[in-house]
Amino acid sequence: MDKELLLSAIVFGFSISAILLLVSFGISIGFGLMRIINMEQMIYYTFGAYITYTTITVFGSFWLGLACGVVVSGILGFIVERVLLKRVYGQELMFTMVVTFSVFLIGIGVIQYVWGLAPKPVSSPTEIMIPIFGVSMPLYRVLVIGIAALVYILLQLLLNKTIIGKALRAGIEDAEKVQGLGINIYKIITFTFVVASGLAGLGGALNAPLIMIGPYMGFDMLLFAFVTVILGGLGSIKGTLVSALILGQVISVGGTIWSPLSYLAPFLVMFFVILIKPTGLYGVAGKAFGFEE
Amino acid sequence: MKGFGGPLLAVLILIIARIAFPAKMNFITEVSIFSIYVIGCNLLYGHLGMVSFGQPFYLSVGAYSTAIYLAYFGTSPMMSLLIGIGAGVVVGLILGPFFVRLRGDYFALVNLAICAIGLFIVEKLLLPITRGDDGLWYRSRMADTLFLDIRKPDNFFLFVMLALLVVLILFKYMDQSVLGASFRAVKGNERKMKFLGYSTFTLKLTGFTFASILSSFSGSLFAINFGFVNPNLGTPGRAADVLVATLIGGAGTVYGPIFGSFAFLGIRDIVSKYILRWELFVGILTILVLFKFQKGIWGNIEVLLYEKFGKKAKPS
Amino acid sequence: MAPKSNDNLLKVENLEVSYQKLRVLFGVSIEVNPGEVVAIVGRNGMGKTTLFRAIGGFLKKDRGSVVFKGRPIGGLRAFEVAGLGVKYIPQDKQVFGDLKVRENLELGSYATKDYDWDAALNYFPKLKDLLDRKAGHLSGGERQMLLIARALLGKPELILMDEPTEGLAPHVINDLTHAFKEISKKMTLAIIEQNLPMVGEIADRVYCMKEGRIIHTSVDKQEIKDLAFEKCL
Repeated sequence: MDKELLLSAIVFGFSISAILLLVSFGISIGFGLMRIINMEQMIYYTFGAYITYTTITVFGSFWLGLACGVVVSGILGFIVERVLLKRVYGQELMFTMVVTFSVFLIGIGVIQYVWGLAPKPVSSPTEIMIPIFGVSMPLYRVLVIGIAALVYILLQLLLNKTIIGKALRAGIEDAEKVQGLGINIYKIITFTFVVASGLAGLGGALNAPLIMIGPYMGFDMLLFAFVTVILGGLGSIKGTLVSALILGQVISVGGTIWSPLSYLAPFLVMFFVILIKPTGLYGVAGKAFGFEE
Repeated sequence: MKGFGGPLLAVLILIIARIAFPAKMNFITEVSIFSIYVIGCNLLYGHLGMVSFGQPFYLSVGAYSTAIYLAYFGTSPMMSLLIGIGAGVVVGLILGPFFVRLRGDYFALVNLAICAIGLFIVEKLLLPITRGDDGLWYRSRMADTLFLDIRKPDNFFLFVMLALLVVLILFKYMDQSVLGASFRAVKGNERKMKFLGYSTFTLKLTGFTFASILSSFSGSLFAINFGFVNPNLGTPGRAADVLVATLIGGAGTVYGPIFGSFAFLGIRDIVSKYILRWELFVGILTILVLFKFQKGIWGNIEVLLYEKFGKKAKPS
Repeated sequence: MAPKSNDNLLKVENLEVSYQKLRVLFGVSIEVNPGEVVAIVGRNGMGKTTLFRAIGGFLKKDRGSVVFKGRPIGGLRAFEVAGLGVKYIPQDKQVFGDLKVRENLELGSYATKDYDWDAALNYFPKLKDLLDRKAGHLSGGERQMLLIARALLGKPELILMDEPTEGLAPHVINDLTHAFKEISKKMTLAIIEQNLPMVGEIADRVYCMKEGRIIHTSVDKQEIKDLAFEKCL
């Protein structure tokens, strides 16, 4: 494989990693904090993309569309958490999985109802190509990588420097003890959830110009997101990052070697890792959310 | 052998229904085949407490094995069914040891993943063989079978009834045996079982393989029923169908799957005349069932029977 | 020991609690008066932790009442109970290991708005040197001290401690006992303990629990000092 192709594939891979990181964060954190697996996370991803599409159609601006997509996703996440999820805390893991999966299906139904079944194209805000190490790359992809990196830095700041972030990390370790200090953990959970869904929406909006958006886009991404989280280990943010980086490269470079690998390779990597370490690279041991509520 | 009664009655009711409503025979056939599929999922979830989001994979393994055999190799439907069942055994025994070791949530997701991979393989990777989205057709190649020409829908119906009867009897037998109790004990408290010396791994592997076989078998039956297969049989989107049917009917019960299949497919038929948004419907239905109706149709009936007749029927 | 008053700080009456469909507490009644040190003793699995967790709002009660300062708190959520001044310290000696000691204390201050760390740390001076260490690297005794110091923030009126000395070395237990005596001058303590000599030394009232019931109460100081209640175990 010649150097140009490889370099191009690597950058491409990082842009995939960027999207994976954004959409997987919510699932990983949702498990770490609330011990639920929220299968409906991709609905925020899908809505993020579709709202962006509609905003572009009406107002013509991609970045405005992106902002709207993120905001709408956050609001949706808030509604879902307050109305539905709080009823499933403390239930068996399986129960919440099936419930959230149903929400996902409902969401797909709504998307189909409002926007129809046909895939829609979203045009990229910029077609400019820039040279990186002598190879010509789409500026947009580089922007995507940049935005995701920025988000990650902000997240780390949030988690390490703010009291809410610390409460969140404490909550991942032991939510009961956080309550025991008088802290309303439910508010923290809601906040976390809104952030997670907003991020998924950002992922959807950013990814929209790179793929054709359709009602089932969430499905494929759901699978990759889960591979990312399983590989990295449920509940570990660092694991999600590492895993997203690995998988981005696997999908991109692997796909360059043999096309079907771009779909298959992530699953193969995941299987392989799980065989050796069933909880993933940095997995957090799971017990159902300990509250008898 | 005691315990013949229930399954026999159930199948007889289905046969009577078919006679009473001749126009609905295809529907009843489909319900019966789907029941076998649901019984498999029920075994996994209702008895062992393992949720799988990927049962369509095992169904399509059986379906495509049967289809490929009939399309390229032979003409005997019976042989193709055996091949379908065999495929289920093989897949169960190969994937089982890796999958059942996983914690519940990982297990569910890994199955979803294999379902997606399976779909990809069938739709794209093996396109020349499977014809992908166009579907694989082979009805014209099916030959006559001994005793009963199952190419004829009427006869196939009887064959399916027989199959369902056998499956129900075997299932009921297992349910009432030590194996069944062991399964339920694993669902209830796996740690304790391990502590008592049971190999939960072997138990789960057994259950997993049974479920795989049942799903594949139903896939094969579907393949013969329709005379063609296409990748839709195995899409991850359909993973919820079988779970919903299991829940509606009553997870962990013997006859629940039949009720569940009936309800699910019946509602789907009715609803699809009015609503195109299938997913919306399944989603709402699942949530309703989970929150309001946890025991399912048969589950609730069982409780009623228990209260009325005491020891005859025992709730799971 | 601080002087007792006659109004209960905490009154639990006929508490029945189930845990995953299994009844664990069968009509338990206890009282805690302001300034007292109350000890709950009993073998493992007798329901002591369940009692404290139910009071703290971590478990739902089936029946009975829990009244704190005249106000029923039986249906409140755990953080609300903590907010009213009842802090529960679990027995697992786990702190937020990924955070520093300092950050653990910050979380204690967050909801209570009490940043007067000196008051809390004066009972455990050793912690002052450990502020920037990752809490997960502390020893068992140090962690227990951190758990208590953290809970003291907000100046709770009632502290429920679950087997604080379990698994700790004798000299650490001495330090803790001394700290408890100091703390009880300002706050009311309820302690679950299997360390009977320590109970004899500091408790004003002892409840013995067996199989989810209170089977014996001792309020006589001499009886307690002599560990006469030991026979009920």
